[in-house]
Amino acid sequence: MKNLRLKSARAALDMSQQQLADAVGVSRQTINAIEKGDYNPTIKLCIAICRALGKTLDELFWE
Amino acid sequence: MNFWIVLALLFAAWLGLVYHFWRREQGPKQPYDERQEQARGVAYKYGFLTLAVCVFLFDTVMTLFPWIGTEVGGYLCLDLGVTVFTVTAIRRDAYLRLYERPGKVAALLALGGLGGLGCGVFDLRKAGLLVDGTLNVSAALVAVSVSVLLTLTVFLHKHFSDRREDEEA
Repeated sequence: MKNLRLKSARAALDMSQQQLADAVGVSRQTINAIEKGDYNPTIKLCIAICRALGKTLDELFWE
Repeated sequence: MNFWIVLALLFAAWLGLVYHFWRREQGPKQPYDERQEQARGVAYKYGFLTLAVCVFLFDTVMTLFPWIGTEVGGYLCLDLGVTVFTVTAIRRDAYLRLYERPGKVAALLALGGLGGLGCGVFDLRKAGLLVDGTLNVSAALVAVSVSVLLTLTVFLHKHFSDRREDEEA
């Protein structure tokens, strides 16, 4: 399932996928896969993404 | 054992130790992220299964096509397994390390593929395709070089599609 909340949180900060990827230490393709719903990140990566975007886990990843 | 060989081995061991402790000072570095590690695991699985199937069919193929020869046949099996791994890793965006530049990898693949192809074709023209009724080992070099160039094609295609995706994102 697509993660549109992640995409909009990233867009709200005017961040590209590459910039977010660099901030959390993964490849751009991994961020793309998470946004498209093709990959479920580990909790460690979820926390890193939340920190980079200034959001909580619930706001970005809870369904 | 020759004194100079022992000295060279000791020197190589010393260099290895220096490198090891220097790398430890740098701290742990993840060459691949978690998704890439998972994807590479799948690629290793497919490569291994390909190799296993080749080994399973090896005897039958050698009986049907004895002119291939066991040496060339073995190299072709290995080549197929490695190519399946590489292509799978590329298609799943798990081939390049996190901070590795695609240009460098593409250049190495092109150099390896074209160089191997050139050497293989040159040797085949000089020594002939068949040696004692079986394929010249250079035929395996040509086949491996073609695989490397095929890998390069897949790599470039993926790289340019990713760039388009990057621009859209």
